[in-house]
Amino acid sequence: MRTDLPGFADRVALVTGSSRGIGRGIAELFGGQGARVVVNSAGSPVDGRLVARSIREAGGRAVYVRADVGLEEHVAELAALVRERFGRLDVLVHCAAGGAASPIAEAGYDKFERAMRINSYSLIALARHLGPLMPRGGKVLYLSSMGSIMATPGGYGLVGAAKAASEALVRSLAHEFADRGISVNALRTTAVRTLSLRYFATADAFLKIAREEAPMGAPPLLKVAETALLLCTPAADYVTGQVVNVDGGWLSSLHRPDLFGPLHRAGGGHRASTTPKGER
Amino acid sequence: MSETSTEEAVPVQVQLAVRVLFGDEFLDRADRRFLRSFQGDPARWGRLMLDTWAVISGVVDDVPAPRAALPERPAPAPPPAAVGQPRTEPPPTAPAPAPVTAPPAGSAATGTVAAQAGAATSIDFFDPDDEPDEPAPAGRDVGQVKQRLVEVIAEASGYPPEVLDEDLDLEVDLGIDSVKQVHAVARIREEYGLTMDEDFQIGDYATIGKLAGYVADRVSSAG
Repeated sequence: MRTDLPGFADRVALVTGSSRGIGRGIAELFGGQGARVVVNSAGSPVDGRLVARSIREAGGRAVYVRADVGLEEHVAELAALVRERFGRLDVLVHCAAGGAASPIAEAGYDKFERAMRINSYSLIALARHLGPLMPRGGKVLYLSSMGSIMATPGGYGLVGAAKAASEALVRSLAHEFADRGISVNALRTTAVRTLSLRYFATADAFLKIAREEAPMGAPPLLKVAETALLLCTPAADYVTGQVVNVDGGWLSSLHRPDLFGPLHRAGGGHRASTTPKGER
Repeated sequence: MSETSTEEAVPVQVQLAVRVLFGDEFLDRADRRFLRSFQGDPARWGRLMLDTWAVISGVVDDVPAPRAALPERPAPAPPPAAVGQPRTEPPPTAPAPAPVTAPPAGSAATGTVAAQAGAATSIDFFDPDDEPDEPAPAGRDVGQVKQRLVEVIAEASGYPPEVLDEDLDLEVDLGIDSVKQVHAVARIREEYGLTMDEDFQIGDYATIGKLAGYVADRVSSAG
């Protein structure tokens, strides 16, 4: 994937959770922009190596590191490797996520701990071990999700809580890193069509909502990755402590043409279709 | 897409489970008889799920299957060591299992933390630049591909390499299920640097001989 945005050549970028899904899209886009990419995942090493190889075959530079960012010792080793190999880290995009699906009221401490460790403590560990490698102009971007601000079916509550915690961590981290000229933000998006959606039993419903209830429709992977790129370029140096929604206008509008009629009609067509077809 | 016909023939629960486990592409391309065969056979379904989880979480890469006793003649039989069966200690001759690593990020649907217990103590590093520019070290020779396939399938199935005759049907004669076959092919594909083939159907290449021919063809057309 390529865009014309400037300012990315030779930057060292670590993208956690980039063997598949949105992380992979971001890693491949960064690679296409001339960044030296560290592809990372805890599982799926075959996919991770293929991502590194595909970036290289497209003319970019990438390595793959299998490491679980939910484990402190792995993060420490990962940081040592980045320091030894590249000497610094310009961009950290944290996409690795995971956790056991469970209704909140049935979750034991083990599930809570796991969700918080993988989705939230990992950000702290990454900031501690990799933050010292980041120069002025460095960028940290955390991939959050809508689960941080709304209840989502499918037992997503624990992960959602961890994502919400991470968004708060992003704000404090942005504050702490501000005098070093490092900006820290989160990116929140809706259901994006990638193979990783297979982990959600409710994937089809999420996609349908993201497509139909956002006035622009669901964002394609490239647009999500390009927004991540934008937030990691010098153009966005003064954007910090923010949660940026890439949702096609979903959160900010009540878009139900099936109930209100088409957008362009004056008065919204309320009268015409207050009662949805098929009811009563 | 054959989605309409799949919807007609395969129960919706099976479709959902397959979609969760393998993704839409797999469901679209899967053999409908294969999907229907899970109906009314929960044990088979359970094994498939456990095997799949093991494959996608990378556990299979790390834990060698216990070796089975050498059969006189490979007869139609269940695989000697399905990954999904309760794992027993390997016999003393087998190498010690490597540490089991954590499940992949995003594996919420599997709902298990079992693999977390023995977290790996070290990270792995891979640099494509360290690889030789020639992507296929074993060359375009069908014989060499065959030999490598035998090694990989022996490791995945627990059969000794010497019983894996190239003309035996992997599923019918050896009881090696399609998940293990797909895993073996994925590994070979990676070793030979081959990209995903959209038209590949594991059922079209039921024997080691046919698979080796396929891989060798891909390798030579890529080079």
